[in-house]
Amino acid sequence: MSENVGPDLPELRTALADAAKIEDLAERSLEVVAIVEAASAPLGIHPVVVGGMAVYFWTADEAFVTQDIDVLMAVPERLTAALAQLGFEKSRDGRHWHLAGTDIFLEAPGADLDRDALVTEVTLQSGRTAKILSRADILLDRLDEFQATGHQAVAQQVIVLLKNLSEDQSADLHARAAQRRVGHALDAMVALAVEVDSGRALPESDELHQIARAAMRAEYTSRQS
Amino acid sequence: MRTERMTIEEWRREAPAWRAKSRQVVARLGPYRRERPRDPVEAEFLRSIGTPERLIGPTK
Repeated sequence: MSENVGPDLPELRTALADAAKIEDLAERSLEVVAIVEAASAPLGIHPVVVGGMAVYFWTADEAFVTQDIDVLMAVPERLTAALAQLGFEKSRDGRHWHLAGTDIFLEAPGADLDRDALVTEVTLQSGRTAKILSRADILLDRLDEFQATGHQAVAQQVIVLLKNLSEDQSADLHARAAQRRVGHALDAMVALAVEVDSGRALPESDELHQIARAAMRAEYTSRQS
Repeated sequence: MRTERMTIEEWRREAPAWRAKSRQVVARLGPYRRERPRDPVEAEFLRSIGTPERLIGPTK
């Protein structure tokens, strides 16, 4: 009897080819990540979808999305070899993988997740599961970015993500935003979302930069007190 | 790390309402245009599959 030494990569490669044909972008992306996880889990690696694909999952709106899939995961040599056996071609910069002959494009920008992060595990049509950053956590990520940059595009994503927040998610978000030093940015964006709901246009770039700077200053001031 | 669970069927049920709310907001905010510089390898791939430049944004 042979010992089971790891994932059945040829079978996963076939599953990946099938997943690449799924029409819905969110379902296709999550099936791909679930298959990558099936290959990486024996190494103790569990990829988590972050970035634009996570925004897309929680808004279901193509307005913000590109085809690339950002995942947090470590990529040791053994996983690189497994990804190659699944049909992924590694880019020159070593951070991107393209599934040959498809529009599937993975990036692993890092491996670190907040210790108190909330991850949503989605059970897929195939029975596999894929992990994705929760709505509250992708909001925290975007609030961090807004506070640092004041970018209008990020403000748009925050306002849209806030629209579908449940009461429980809102309570969790406010508590963790304070810990993450983006509580003032959250308050400012919640107020802005209410104004936008009432018919106000999104402020111009200068005003958004002022809002971001004021939020950063308030965090700094409250840190000193 | 904490974990919550959902099924893709639940996502499919929720998605139309999320999409409708998002589109309402986006219609008021105007078209999304990425400002954060993007990695050149990623930008090259996105261009190769016909992604609009406003979504690709500037390149690092």
